[in-house]
Amino acid sequence: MSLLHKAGRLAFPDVEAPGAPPLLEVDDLHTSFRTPLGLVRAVDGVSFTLQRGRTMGLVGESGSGKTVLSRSIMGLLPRANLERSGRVLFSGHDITAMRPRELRQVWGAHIAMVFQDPMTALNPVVRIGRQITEHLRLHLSMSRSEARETAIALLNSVGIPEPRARLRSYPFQLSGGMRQRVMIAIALACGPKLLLADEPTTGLDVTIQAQILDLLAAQQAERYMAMILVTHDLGVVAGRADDVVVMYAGKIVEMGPTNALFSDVKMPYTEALLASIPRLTDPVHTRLSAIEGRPPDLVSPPHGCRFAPRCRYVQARCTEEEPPLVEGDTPGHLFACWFPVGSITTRGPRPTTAAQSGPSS
Amino acid sequence: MNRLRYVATRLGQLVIVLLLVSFLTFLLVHLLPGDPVTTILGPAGTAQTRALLRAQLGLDHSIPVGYAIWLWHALQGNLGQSYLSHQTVASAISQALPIDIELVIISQVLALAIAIPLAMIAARRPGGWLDQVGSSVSFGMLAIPAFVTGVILQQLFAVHYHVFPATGWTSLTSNFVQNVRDAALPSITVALASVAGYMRLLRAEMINTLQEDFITMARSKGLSTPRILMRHAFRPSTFPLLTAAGLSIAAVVSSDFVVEYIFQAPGLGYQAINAIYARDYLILQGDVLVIAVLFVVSLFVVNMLYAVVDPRTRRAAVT
Repeated sequence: MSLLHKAGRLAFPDVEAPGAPPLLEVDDLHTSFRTPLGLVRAVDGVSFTLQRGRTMGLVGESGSGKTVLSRSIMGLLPRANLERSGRVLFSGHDITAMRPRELRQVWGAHIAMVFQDPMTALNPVVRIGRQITEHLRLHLSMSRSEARETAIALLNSVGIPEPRARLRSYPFQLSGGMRQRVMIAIALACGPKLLLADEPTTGLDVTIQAQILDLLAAQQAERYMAMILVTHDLGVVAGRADDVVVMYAGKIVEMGPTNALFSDVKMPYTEALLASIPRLTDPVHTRLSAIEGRPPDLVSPPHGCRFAPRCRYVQARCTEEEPPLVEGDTPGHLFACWFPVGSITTRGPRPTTAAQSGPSS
Repeated sequence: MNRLRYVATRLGQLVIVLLLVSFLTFLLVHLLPGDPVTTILGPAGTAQTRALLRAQLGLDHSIPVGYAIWLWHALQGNLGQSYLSHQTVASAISQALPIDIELVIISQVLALAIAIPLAMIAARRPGGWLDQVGSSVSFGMLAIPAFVTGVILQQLFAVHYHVFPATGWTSLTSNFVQNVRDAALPSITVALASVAGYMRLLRAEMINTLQEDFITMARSKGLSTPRILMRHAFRPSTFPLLTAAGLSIAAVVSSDFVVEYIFQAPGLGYQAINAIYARDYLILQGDVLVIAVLFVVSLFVVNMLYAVVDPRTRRAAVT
């Protein structure tokens, strides 16, 4: 598909060509908000790359900075009171250096986002049809009828019955699952090469969640997109992501290929996240495992390792020196921990569901 | 189907309110202290005129029966006759009403045409310099009453520059150009009084709407800012504006007798004031009735517009 639309605008090199830059390269990205309480460092030095056709799971609890990271990658955060440094290279173009005008050519056309809550992210007073077709007409210069036919095909591909009739519906006339499908259709409309899915299933029934995740996976494979799947649920990521990035307090604490990471969890935080997933094999009335304490204050994060105050393996060094993100024995598997899981004995009982029983093993 | 039922329900409510309003208007004459006939005619009336007036006012019946008869006549357009000018109330109203309708339409279209773009510009960057200038100016405008604006406009455009006439009214049908010239200053005066309120309302609502997820979503699709403001943010922000416009259209008819007085435009308000001075109670009753009905009907229209603007209302009325 041609990357040039409305001749003479932004052109992107073919990322499939040999020697081409990776589709997405995030380099030391910092994103902070100026607040009356001080500078909130929501994203604090994040780097990773993502190739076309790959799915990256971005995992962390609420407040870990994963949503801010996904919006910061896209450049979608309101500029007031925002401080951002580092680079986000999309097909070699630095998104952080783009002017609003250039960003608008990237948004929707090359990078698209699926939002968390389909109840609030669709405009309640605009018909579904217009919400799907407006950026088709803008980015791909389609005529009204072309855009309409494309929209019908899109709704069809995301599994919406009677797509032609649905074009005239308003969001409130659809169920939650259907609305999320519509949102996915909107995001996919212009054939983006990168899809950011920000907790796409959090607001949905469990039965619908699997359907939506399967739909995203199918579309990602079919369109050969790169996808960042933002979630707080490691279980969601386990079967669907090629790579996993675990964030804590604005930093990456562990990342690697999904199988390598799950079979040999290094970072105690990842281990704790895994342990907090309830399992069917647990006896009835087993207490749910939870991570003690709360995520740190991002205005003045703790000295040393940010997870240290909540870590069951914490040592003196952890509170003094911040561990760097380094590669372990497995290539591509990075973690930031002085005393990775298994290297020292814990002071308390080990969680029953540690890395060994992870979903991918 | 849903829509039909919604309209039917609203129409039913409208009829009930209209009956109530007309009953209260009917009572107006009965609420006059002492014997209304003596109050109206003074001690001078002959027995014959007194009896005639008593019959006209429906005073020779009990209140419910009198109301029924009066309503029956009113529905046929018979609201009685002025005992001063001997003009029928209906014809007096039909002379005055078009003036109000014209003033309302011109002034409100003007007010919205000024307020909507200003509100959008201000809401784009709340606290930005455009917003601050807009806020200051609109607060200033809110603080200046219409009779001051009116007199200033007269001084400026009629006395000093002779662009528009200071006072007077020519009917639309007799001389269009002269009518527009006559209508200009009173319309602008009324419009300026409405602009600030509309602007502040829409600005506040737009700022709220612009925080919504669906706006971020629209941005993430790469839509331009003007398009987001107009297509995505404006419509969900218009509900308070609609209510305000509906109320103020009614209020303009009833309360802008001041403007009509300054510019000597003989609309309903002007007529009602004169009727009060002259104790011409039947004319007054007719004017009050028309104003009240206009008020209720314009609110009804606003309710119908809600359904157009917000598709969810159509369902809410049924479920």
